[in-house]
Amino acid sequence: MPKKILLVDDANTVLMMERMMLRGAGYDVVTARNGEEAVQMALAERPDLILLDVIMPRMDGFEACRQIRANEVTKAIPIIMVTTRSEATNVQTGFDAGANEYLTKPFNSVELLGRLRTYLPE
Amino acid sequence: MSADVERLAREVETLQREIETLRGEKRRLEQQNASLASLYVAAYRLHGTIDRPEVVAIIQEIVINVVGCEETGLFEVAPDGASLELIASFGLPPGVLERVPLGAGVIGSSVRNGALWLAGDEPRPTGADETHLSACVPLVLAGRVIGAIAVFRLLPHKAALTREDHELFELLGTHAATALYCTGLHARAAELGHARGA
Repeated sequence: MPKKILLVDDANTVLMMERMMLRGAGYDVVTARNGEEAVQMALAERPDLILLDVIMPRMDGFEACRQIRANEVTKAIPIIMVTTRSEATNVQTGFDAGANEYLTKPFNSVELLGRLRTYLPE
Repeated sequence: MSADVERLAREVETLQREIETLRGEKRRLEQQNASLASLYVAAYRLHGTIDRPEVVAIIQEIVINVVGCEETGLFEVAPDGASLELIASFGLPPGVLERVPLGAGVIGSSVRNGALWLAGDEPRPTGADETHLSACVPLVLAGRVIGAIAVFRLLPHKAALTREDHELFELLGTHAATALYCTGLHARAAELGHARGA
């Protein structure tokens, strides 16, 4: 049974690229376009891991992360925040919100797949 | 017995070296796959719509998220053919580079010559507005330059443009040009359709 990853990003280009990369690596992929959808999809799909963009409309990634962590059903899902912003304050906010890791975009696919394997061993 | 153990130990060593080689090859192929996926997705997205605002947004999305920059501008050659007009930007201060004469500065020269410009190439930027220019990608359609994508400041954690970025610029140079041109054709066709219907 392939591991399932929830991709969350408001940029269709990024979603499409991540989806191709992850499906090519054998993962099952579901997507969400903003933080609200991410919280709903996390509950509905129970992914094995969430790749979560930070800057999104309606609800940003930090708030989505907090809500996912606050729910008994989804609180244990590993969350990797993915963003273009690398400032220390943003990184700390991500970890304070409950993220397990913080990756900057554009990311190196080898690095991303390596991080995924840490949380989802083959 | 000890000869067998030695032989097995050597075989284990050989296999471990092979495993490392295969791991390296796997990483290389994953990187290559990701690079090809980027090019495919960029082309797919550019040609997936004939709505001008959407195409403009997609071009910016690609430059900001895939190349990784915090300042970018999209230019089109003005109807007078003598200058470039800034039709969209991200992260640039208001009023900057709104109109660039062809041949002026790096952007104007790159468009007049139809040649990709990367930081480090000649001519060097001399104007204040081009200080942080990292790349200028002329948009070329059937041998004619119709505009340009200017990439200014890269994201803080991105040290420099990569070979993959250069490949993406090559793709954008033609496919973004075609996509923008098609939005114009579509708009004119819609206008003619309205005019006939009126």
